[in-house]
Amino acid sequence: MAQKGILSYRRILPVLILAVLSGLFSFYVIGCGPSQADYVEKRPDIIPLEAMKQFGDLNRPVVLFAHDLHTEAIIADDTGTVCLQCHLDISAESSFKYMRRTDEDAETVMNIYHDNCLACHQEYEEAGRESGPLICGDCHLRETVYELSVSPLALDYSLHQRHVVAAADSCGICHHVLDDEYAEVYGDDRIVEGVSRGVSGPLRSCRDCHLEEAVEGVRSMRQAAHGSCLSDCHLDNEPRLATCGSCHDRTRQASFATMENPPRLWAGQPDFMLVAPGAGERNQAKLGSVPFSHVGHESFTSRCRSCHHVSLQPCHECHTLAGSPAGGGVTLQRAMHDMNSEHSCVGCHEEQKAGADCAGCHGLMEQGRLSDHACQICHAGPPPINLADVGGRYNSLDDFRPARAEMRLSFSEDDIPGMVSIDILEDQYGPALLPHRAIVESLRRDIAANRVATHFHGHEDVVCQGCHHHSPVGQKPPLCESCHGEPFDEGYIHIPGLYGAYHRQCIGCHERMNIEPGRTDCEGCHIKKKPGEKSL
Amino acid sequence: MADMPAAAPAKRSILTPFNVIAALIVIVGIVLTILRFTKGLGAVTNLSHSNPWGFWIGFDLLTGVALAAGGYVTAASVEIFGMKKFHSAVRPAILTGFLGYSFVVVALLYDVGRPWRLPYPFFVSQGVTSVMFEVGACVALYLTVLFLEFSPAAAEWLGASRLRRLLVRLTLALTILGVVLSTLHQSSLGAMFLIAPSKLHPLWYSPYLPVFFFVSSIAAGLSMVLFEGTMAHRYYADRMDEEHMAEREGVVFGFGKAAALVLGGYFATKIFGIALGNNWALLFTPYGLWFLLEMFGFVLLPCFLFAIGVRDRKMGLIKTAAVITVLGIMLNRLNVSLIAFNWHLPAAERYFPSWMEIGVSVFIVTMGLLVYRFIVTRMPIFFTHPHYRSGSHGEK
Amino acid sequence: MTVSRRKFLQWVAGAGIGAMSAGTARAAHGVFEGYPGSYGVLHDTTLCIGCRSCEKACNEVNNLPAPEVPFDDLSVLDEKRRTTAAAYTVVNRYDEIEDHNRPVFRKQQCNHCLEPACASACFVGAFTKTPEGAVVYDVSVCVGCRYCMIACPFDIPAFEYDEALTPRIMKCTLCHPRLLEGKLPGCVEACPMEALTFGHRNDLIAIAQERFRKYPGRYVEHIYGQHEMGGTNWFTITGAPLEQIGLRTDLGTIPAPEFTAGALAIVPMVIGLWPVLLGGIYAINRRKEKIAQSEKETEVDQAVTATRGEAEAKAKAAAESFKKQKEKAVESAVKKALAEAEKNKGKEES
Repeated sequence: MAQKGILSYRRILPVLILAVLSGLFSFYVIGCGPSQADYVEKRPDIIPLEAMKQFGDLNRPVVLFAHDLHTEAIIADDTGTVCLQCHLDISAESSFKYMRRTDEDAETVMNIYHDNCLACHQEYEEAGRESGPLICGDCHLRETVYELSVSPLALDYSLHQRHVVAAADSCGICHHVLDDEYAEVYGDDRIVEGVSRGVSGPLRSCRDCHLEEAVEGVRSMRQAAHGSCLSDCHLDNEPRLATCGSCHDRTRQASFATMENPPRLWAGQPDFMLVAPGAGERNQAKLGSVPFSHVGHESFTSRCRSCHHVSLQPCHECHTLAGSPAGGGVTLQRAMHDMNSEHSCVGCHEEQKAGADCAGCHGLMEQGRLSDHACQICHAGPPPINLADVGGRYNSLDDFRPARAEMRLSFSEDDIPGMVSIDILEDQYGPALLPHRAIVESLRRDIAANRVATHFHGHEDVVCQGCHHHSPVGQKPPLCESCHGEPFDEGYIHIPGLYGAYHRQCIGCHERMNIEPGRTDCEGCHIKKKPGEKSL
Repeated sequence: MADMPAAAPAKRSILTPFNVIAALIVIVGIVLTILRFTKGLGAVTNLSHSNPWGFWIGFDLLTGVALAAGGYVTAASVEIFGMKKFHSAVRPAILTGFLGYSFVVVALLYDVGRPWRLPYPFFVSQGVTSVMFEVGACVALYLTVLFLEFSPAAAEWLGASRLRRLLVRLTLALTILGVVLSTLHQSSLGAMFLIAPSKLHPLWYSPYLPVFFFVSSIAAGLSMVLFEGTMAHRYYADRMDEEHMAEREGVVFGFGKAAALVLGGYFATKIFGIALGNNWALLFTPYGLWFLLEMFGFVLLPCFLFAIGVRDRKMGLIKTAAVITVLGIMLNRLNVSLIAFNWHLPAAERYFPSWMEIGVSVFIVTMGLLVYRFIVTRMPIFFTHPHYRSGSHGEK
Repeated sequence: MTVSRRKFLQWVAGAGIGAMSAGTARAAHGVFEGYPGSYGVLHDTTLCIGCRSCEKACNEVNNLPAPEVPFDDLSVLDEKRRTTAAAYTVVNRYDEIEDHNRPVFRKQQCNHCLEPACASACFVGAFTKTPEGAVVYDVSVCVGCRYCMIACPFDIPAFEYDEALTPRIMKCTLCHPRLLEGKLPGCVEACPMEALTFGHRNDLIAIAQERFRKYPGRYVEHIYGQHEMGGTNWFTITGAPLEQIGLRTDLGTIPAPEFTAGALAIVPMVIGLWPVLLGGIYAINRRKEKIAQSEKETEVDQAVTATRGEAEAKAKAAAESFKKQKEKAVESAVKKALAEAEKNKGKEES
């Protein structure tokens, strides 16, 4: 019996179908949770507004604030000190909070943000100018559209010298602690290279006091830089640098004017010295000290922090023999020899080896380990226990290492084969013609042009080892086929066969050094024979 | 008057619309068959190395087998569960099943590279680690079972009463065997895809695939019997006897009730499948929407339609629900084998059947319909043979 | 021929037990680490220069048809290719890899899995994992069903769709016939950079790890194929992120046959239990029918008896009343006759 009541199927069916379809559609539309937008803009000025986090869990996604957009909008009005429009206090001691000095409670802080931000946005909107969002979801975006990409600003020698010139040699403007000491110690003398030698008190760098985090009354480097550099100087003087991007954008940094050959930044460092553990530990170190040309190495770096990565103190003061908390537990040995660090001696030298000029040989060699013979090249000085004069400053290092002579060939020209014809595997291709002497000459030239290479390849026979590897150095190195025979020999699984060895060696080197012939240009090395042709 | 010629009896023209269209389809089908066996699969299909199975597997094999499940479902309900009031539905269901499986094998002859080697897994080299081996064995055996279950009708038609008596004695055993074999191969058709978890979308891939395929085959069988019954009553009512006509309503409402229950249970198992894989988040993706459409539109909706139709005694609703269910089964099988399969491949490498593949499938279905027509117009499918009328409720 | 239910069930049980014992009794937690001494190949993409010598050698060694574009034409690398019915292996070029100023090349071919999905899937057992490590294909039993192509997680097997009557599956054989002769696979022999290292599977792992140690930072320290899909005999090591050079990292470490082992294991259970279940239901139904039948009969009997009793009683009462009526009628007739007689008598006297 058909029921004709309210629940009759004829009426309920369309409703049912509609409900199902809208349910399906809503599944799709609602999605689930925050997501990454298709295009994420990388900017140096993104500040996540996270002040509310201290009060508990957040209801809405964190607002990613693009500071420069706002600075640029306000600068256009030219209303005097830009910062004060939003920051109540930009003095040396302030913390740059938005429109407040302290964080009282969740409600207050939230209202400060909402009331002020929206008021300004509203104002600009009504004035018909480009403005910001007015509804919640447009600031509290669920999709990530911004990403912080800030290039740290390095005050290298060139930039420092530009500031010296701009400050008309008044060091105390930036090196403010020494305002009083300056006159007392240095008189009116300007701190330039060669002057005031012998004075032991170094002109300290900002970072000696202004660390990563603020410490009892001393602002962090970040606070100091933005607080003083910006607000005391750059906001009001030319060039007017008020936005994050003007300093921290990689492209802008590349466009900074550079000074050719800035004078040496002297903070009391020696020209030449012997690197050894700290005074208290010298009797424990047996290995020879390292004669070190500080002045020479300064020319390889753009700033002190390349090596003095925390402060200007000597390395051994934080990096003791056994490691100390000040040095983050990093022992002196690791600080000097860590192959993966940018700041260690060996780490920097490794970076040099990675360049195309070196990679031809070094790419084939086992990496990640110090070769045993290299120790002697650096540790050429007297053992620290014999050092009477702690701290040692020397006028030259000639006493400690053999005279730095030009790369000399212990082999005469005639000893080095000119053209080598490799025909042992001749089959579909003719013999490979190797311009042997030309290659040696080219390598010699590359090494001579690089001071690290020259220092470490003091004995040029070492060059031969790039190809004639795993064998004793000599005028007549063993033939390749002495060790490289049939491939996949079960007793020698790590040694390639001759066919693979030749190609890996040659093609590998050409690839790493980016030289012709290219890898698939077979005939660049050996001519292809016509089918049936016996030999060329 | 004696010398007046008698009026010629009215003749039914052979050129009915159905016959004409069927003839065209058959002609095209024969051409396509020749193409397939002279030029190879590449000339007729859009199959590729990344998409080795296409419409013939997805539709003819998987959907065909699922929809032919009415045979074992109906036979089981009458012979094992003792629901005598569905008795008139048994023979049509068995016939649909038998023809369905037969033409699945025909479709396989097209799809497989060397069809004459199809007996190899039984007689030459057994790949017992393969789910498909089990599918093949069960389908072959089940086809035999169906043939034996169908053959009493043929025997009656041929007048071979001793043979018929012998065959009828086997009914219970055949029915039980039929259910066993059907459970095995219906579930194993789903189990075949278990070996490729990296290719099937997680919403369709589940360790429960065999269960899903088996349960949905029951719903498919019930719905197909309803649909086929609707068609039969429309076109072959004149061949139906009283028992057939009288039982019709009972069959419709009884099967409708069963279908509602089975579909409801199937929907629940699908939810458990998502829970097992913890794939809730995937429901919010485009494929998720497609999955929800299949579930809500083609499983839950007919479930409710069946239920309402049974409660309110509306045969029309039940017939509609049956059609939706059949389409839903086809959608599910196509999803598992073609649409959600290789879902991660870029659009340019996805598969869509060529018109020739669809043409061959249509050809096979048409041949099935023609054979069906031949049988129901001659053999006692919709009526009880007069010899065996009284007290012949399955002589045992 | 009558088959009793008991006999039938015995047959089925026997078949079930037989099937269980003959089935693939594979320990669920066993791990197959390869036949001892089996060979494999280590492909180092940092050495591959994309010269296609391996493709050329494979084509020659296997007598494959000549390609449309010759092997020294490197412009085909502009497009991504896959293995085809005429190419057991292809090299692909991957540009714009992060931290790489050069493109990365990778050769792809059958990985010769330890527990191949193709071998598990093939229902005529056309694939065999040989002790040498190669997975080889027997064309003499292949039916052309292409289930192996569905199963292969690396999408390697190709099919001769253009062959009408004798289509084959085409895939790398690791040059198994050459291996048996002590020769190297064609591609390995041809590679000028020895980017393909041939050796025992364990040795290849050692070689790969030695390279990781010797050149820190050059490689992604993962031997692809060591554990993927239960492990393969073909390894790839590379300096590029695996996904960026077309290596799927979401395949897991479960060997393919384990995915279907569960479903196959249930088969004997169904064969054993379904007949019991269904037979039981049938028996219960029959019993119910019988009981219903006998109850019906009893009721009918009772009804008949009751009705009969009633009828008899009625008949008796009717007979009684008829008798009474008759007596009364006789009586009244007699009275009437007597009265008549008396009347007649009186008439005669007067």
